[in-house]
Amino acid sequence: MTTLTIVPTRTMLYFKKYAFENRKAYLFLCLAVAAFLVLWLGVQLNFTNPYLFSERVQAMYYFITLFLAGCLSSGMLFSELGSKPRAIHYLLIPASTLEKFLCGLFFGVFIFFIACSGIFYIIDYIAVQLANYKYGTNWEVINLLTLEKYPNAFMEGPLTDIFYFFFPIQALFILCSVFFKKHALFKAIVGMGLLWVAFVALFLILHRLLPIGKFNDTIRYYEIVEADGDNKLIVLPALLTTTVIIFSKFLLTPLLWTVSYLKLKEKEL
Amino acid sequence: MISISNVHFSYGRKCVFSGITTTLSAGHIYGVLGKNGTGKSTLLYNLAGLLYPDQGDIIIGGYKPSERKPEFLQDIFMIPEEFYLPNISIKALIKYYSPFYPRFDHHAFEEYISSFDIPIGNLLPGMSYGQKKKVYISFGLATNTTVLLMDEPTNGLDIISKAQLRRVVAGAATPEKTILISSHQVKDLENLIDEVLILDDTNIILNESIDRISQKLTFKITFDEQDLDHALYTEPVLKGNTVVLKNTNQEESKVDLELLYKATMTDPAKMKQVLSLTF
Repeated sequence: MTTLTIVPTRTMLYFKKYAFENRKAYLFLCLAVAAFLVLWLGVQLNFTNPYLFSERVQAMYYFITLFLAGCLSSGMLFSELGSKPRAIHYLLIPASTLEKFLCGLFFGVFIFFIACSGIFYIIDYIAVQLANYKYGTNWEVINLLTLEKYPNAFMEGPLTDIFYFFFPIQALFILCSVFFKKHALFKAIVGMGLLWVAFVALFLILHRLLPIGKFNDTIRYYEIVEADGDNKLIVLPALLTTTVIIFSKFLLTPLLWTVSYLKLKEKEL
Repeated sequence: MISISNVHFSYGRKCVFSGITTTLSAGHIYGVLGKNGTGKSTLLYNLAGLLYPDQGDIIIGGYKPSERKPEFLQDIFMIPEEFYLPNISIKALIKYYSPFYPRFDHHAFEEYISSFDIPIGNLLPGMSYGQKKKVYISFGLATNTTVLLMDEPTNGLDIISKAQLRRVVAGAATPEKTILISSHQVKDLENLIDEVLILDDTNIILNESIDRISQKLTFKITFDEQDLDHALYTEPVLKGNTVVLKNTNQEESKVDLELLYKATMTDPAKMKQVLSLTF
C-alpha cells in the first residue's frame, strides 16, 4: 500500500488550520518582541552615549533580539507534545508527520524570521530617528537585506556569518521541543550551556595539545608562533577544512531539522 | 477488522500486556472492561498508534497504527478520557477539522449535537467540560471512521447525558464500524455493547459476545438454595441473592454486565470454561 507523505491539498488544509488556531499565539509573540525592543531601545535612548545607535550597535540589537526571541519561541514550537490531551490531538490529526513538521518550520522559522525582522526594522527606524534628533547624529537605519556591509561586532568575518550560528541553535531548540516531554525550553537552555562548556573544554584541551599559535582563514591554516618571530604555517587538508566549513554552515541546520522530524515521527505519548 | 497478535507492552518495568492476541470484527460495539490500571486506555492508545507495542503486531484495515499514516488516521477516531479542543467556535471546528475526514457527515453532526442540546453557534471556550465532551463525541461519530475508540466516554457526563450518549452511539453503529468503548463504570455500557472484552493482569481474560454470554449464563435474583449451590458467582442483595448460573435450561435473561465482570474477575478460568461449553 503506497502512501504519499505530502499531498498538497491536505498540506494546505493543515497549514490553514494551524494558522487559524495559532494566530493569537503568534500575534502575542510579535507583540512581545515589539515590547521588548521598545523597552530596550527606549532605555538606550535615555543614555547620553550617541554611539548606542551606530549601525554597528543596531546590528548587535538585531541579532540579540533574533537569538533571544528565535530560541525561546522555537523551544516551545512543539510544546503541545508535553501535554497528553494536546499530544493526542496533535498526533491523531490525519496529516503526515512531514506535513505537520514542515508546517511548524514554516511558521516557527520562516514566518517568525520575517515577522521578527520586520518588527525590528520598524522599531529600530523610529529609535534611530529619535536618536538622531536627540544627539544631532546622522546614523543610518540598518538595511536588513544588506547586512554584510555593516561591521561585525561579534567576530571576524561578514555580519551575515552570524546566521550560520543562529539557525543551527534555533534548530537545536526545535529538536529539544520535540525530544523533551516537559520543560523543553529550560532543558534546551541547560543543554546549550553544557554544549558551550564542552566546546570550551575541547578548545582548552586543543590549546594545550597544539604548539602555541592560532588558526587563520577560519581553520585552513594553523600558524605556530615562534619566539624568534619565524612563525610556521601548517596547512590543514583542504578536504577536511572544506567539509567542516560546509557542514557547519549549510548542513548542520538541515541535519538537526531531520533529526527533529525523525524524532517526531516516532513520538509516543 | 482489528487484528492484535501477541502484543507485549510495558511502561518501563511495569508489564501491561504480555502477549495479548485477539481479533475485533467490524459491525460490533466492544466494551473494554477492567480495573483501574489494567491497560484499558493503553490498549486504545496502542490501537490508535499513540503508543507502540514492545513486541507483536497490531493491524487495522491493513495499516500498522504505529506508522500513523494519514490514510490510517482519517479512518480512526479516538475520544480520549482527557481531551483537548482548540479555543474556537463549533462552526470553526467543523470548518477546519472536518475536511481531514473524507466521510464526515455534517448533517449527522448537527443531529448529534442537537440531541445533546448544544447550540451549534456556541463557542468552545465558554462550554463546560461535559458540553465540550459532547461536542467531541458528536464530532467523532460524524467522522464516520471505521474505527472509533472511546476511552471512558461517560466520565464527566450527567445521568441524562449518559443515556443520550448510549442512544447516539447505538444509532451511529453500522456494519462497517468497529467501536471500542473502555469503561470502569460497567453499568454505563449496558444495552449498548454487543461484545465484552475484560482485561486483567496483563491479559485479555474474556472476549465474548453478549449473545453467547446470554446463551451460556443466566443472571437472576434468587432465594433457592440449589441455585446458590450451583452459582458461578453470588452476591447478597436486599431481596435475596443475585447469582450467575450456567444456562442449562435455555432460560432468557438479561446479561448483567456488573455481575459478569465480577464473576469473571473472581474466577476467569471457570468462566472461560463455562462459556466454551455446549449445553
